[in-house]
Amino acid sequence: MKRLICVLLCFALCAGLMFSLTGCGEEESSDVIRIGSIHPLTGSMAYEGQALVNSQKIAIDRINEAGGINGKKLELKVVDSLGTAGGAATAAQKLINMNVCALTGTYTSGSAQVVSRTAEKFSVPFVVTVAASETLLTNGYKYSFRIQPSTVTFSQNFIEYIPSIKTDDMKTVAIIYEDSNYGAGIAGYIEKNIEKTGLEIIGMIPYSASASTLSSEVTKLVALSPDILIPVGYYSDQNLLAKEIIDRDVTFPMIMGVANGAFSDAKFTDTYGTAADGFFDINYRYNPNSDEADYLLNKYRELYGEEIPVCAIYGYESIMVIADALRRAGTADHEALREALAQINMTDHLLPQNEILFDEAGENINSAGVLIQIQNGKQVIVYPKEYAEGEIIRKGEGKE
Amino acid sequence: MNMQIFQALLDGVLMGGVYALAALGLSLIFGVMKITNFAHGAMMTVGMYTVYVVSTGLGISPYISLIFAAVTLFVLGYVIQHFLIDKISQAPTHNQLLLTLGIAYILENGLLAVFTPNYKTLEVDDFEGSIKLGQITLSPEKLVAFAVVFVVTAVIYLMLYRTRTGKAIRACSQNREGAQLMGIVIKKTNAIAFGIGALCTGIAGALLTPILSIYPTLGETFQLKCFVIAILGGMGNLWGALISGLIVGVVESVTGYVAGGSWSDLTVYAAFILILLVKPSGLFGRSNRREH
Repeated sequence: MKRLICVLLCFALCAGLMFSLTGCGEEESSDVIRIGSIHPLTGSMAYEGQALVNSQKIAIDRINEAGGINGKKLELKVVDSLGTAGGAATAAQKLINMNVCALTGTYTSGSAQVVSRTAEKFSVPFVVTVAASETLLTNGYKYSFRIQPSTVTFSQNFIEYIPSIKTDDMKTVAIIYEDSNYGAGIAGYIEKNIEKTGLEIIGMIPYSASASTLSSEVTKLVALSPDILIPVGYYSDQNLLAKEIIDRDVTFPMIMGVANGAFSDAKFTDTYGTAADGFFDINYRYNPNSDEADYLLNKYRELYGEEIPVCAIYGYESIMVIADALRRAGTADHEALREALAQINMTDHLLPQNEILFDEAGENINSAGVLIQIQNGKQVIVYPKEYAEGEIIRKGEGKE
Repeated sequence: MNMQIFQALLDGVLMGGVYALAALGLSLIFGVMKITNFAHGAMMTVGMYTVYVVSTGLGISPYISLIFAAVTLFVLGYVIQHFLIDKISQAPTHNQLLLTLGIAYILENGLLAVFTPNYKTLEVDDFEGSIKLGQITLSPEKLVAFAVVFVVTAVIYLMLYRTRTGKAIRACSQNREGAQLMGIVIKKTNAIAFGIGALCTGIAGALLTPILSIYPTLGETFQLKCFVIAILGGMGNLWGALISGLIVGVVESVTGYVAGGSWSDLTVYAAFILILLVKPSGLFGRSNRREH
């Protein structure tokens, strides 16, 4: 009996292996153009990873319904990055073997670094969906492009916007940030450039994104009592922080997240309603005046039953950018596609910025964050003026 | 200033209590079965989702749905021990370890498949804001959690020392063959012990649900914490686990206050290594030699 089970198991394993290998030897059908997608579908970042893939699918379907690219259909090939650099490297390799015309990904900066190296090695274009690390495109690589603002852009935005946002009596700043590349990068940049704003930093509080409590950090913030609190982190940790601040009824004259993973998320306002009113965040967002953004938001709600997490707009936009380049290149050839990407000048997009143009390094020259404020339990863009959906609401109350 | 350190201390004690309960389950399982349960964190997440589902589904307080989580986890633990781990009880220890690791992955990915990786946040309607005592603010969720931990621990203690089943569990942990010779059914006792261990981590998870945003892989964070606490307290030593839990909670919180949470893990593990160097069997552990 045991032996029989063993034999059966062996068969099952072999069958499974063959099944998974068939992907590699797949016949290349000439009427399909494949795009590779590398995102974390398991692990702690799976939520964002899945959302990015979902919005990529919406873009692919939209293009295909309109007749595809030069008569060919687009097809998205998705491989789980497991949220790790190693997983992303394997995924990139696997997708290149599947003959994708371009890679997209990866949500985390560590993974993006690895994928951009692999893309360079095999001369396959790589369009970053989300990965904010400032050093990502500093290797002189030719095949990597990023639409999203980097951590530097967000931090610069903060330095640029804050003088016209703050009131005259605001003098001091404390930054509470998660301690990886992303949080520490933003905090470090702001610390270095704060003097341009006339403000002074009185506290830098790092924490680990996997923290299960931030009580004592908030206690510390109460002791410091800064005029402006800058929280930087991912969704679950920043949610923890906000909960602590709201429940304990701690007030700061201004709370302004920079690329905050929670404040700009619809789920955050769903949870807290008006309790988080007044929170600011400088972040990426769709252009509220764009019809394309409307389409994506509605479609996402319809298909997945919830509001689109903001980061996921870059999933959609990455496909649109590649599609634009494919149309102009007239072929899915890697070299031609890279060339077309490098020369992109795309005015028809859903981002709050001027045309999409890539510089030498592959950065989106016009990318920028917008200032969002939570008002009546909703995120509202309040700055810059051309994308504003409402006015800034000042806090009536001062410091306690 | 002093009041704030005191606040940090208090927060640490409250969170430490919850860590302690989860670690107590791990320690109990190790004490009886001599296996390290790698599925402990994942089981905690199952407890969290049980509370989430029952609370939102039936619209009841998470502290009532906690009972559902306790029952679910007890049954889950019992089943895992009875139908899986027990079957390979003669296999080398590392195989048993890998089995529990496999179970962890199945539970986590099962949760991923059913609930999607989306974060879920459970709001407790019972409480508004927090309790203020002068300059000290206490979160009611954490206070209740601590009280429940206290009660659950007392019940488990009474059960282990006053009931026949409890005595059988202790007998098994002290001397398996001896217990068997006295007519104790090892298989059943093991399953009950595993069930209780799972129940502890399930209740800990349930208590954390109103405090955290939950997602399917959240348990991983607590898995390692439980190990550290259980080892620090001396594997198999329940009181040790409780006290170590409080210690870890306080160290974490005070470090967070003084230097920021980034330093918490570093401080906790540095203290952990130091203590192990001085006392290899943990703070409250007996020498291991007797077991072999």
